[in-house]
Amino acid sequence: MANDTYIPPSMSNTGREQESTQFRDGDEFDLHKASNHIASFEVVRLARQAAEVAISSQPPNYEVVIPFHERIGAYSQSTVDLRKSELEDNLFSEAS
Amino acid sequence: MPNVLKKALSLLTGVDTADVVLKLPKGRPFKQLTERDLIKLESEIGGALFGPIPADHRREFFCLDEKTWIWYEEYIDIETGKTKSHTVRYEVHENGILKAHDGAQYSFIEGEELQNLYLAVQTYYEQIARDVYKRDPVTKRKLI
Repeated sequence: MANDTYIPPSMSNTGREQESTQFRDGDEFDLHKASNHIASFEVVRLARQAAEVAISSQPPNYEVVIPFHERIGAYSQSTVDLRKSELEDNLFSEAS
Repeated sequence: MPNVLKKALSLLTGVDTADVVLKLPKGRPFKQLTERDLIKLESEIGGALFGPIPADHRREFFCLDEKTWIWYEEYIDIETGKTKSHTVRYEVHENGILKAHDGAQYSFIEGEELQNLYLAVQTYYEQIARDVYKRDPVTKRKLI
């Protein structure tokens, strides 16, 4: 265990800045300054509500995939329909 | 022999019309044409879907009925000088497309082969609708 000695932030030179509070290591804690950067429960609630509305107003994110064999079946049926339709037209035209 | 196969064989090997290239008569195009004649017309388009046909080959591809597609290829074997032919029947089933090769080997097609068959069938339908039946492939209404 060579590096197990704890170095307090105030003694380190990393100067890391906390994203939420903008405090740097070694700064004294200031409740008033910190609270300006912390979202309140009300803000969180409103944000969540807005997100739920946005999600529910979007169309469902999926597409209907028709298998190839079903599409082939549909084209087969359409082809035969065209053929039958033409033969029926012939019958009518001959009759008239 | 199943009726479907009889019908296909009759269409493919019929001596009365096999060598006759059907052409659309002008004026009233389909007067006198039977279902068999219509299939022959369709097959001329179907056979050409897969690229140029070599001079000594005969290729047919057509929709026999709602559930059956036929691929037929005939050619002269260079080594033996004899005529050879292959018939492939594609059957539309609820769970896939069954391929029967020369009436013996059965298998459900998948992957690229299934996709290619689908594209061929789609193109076949669109072309015969316009060129044989003079109809819009989508609305099925007569083209003016």
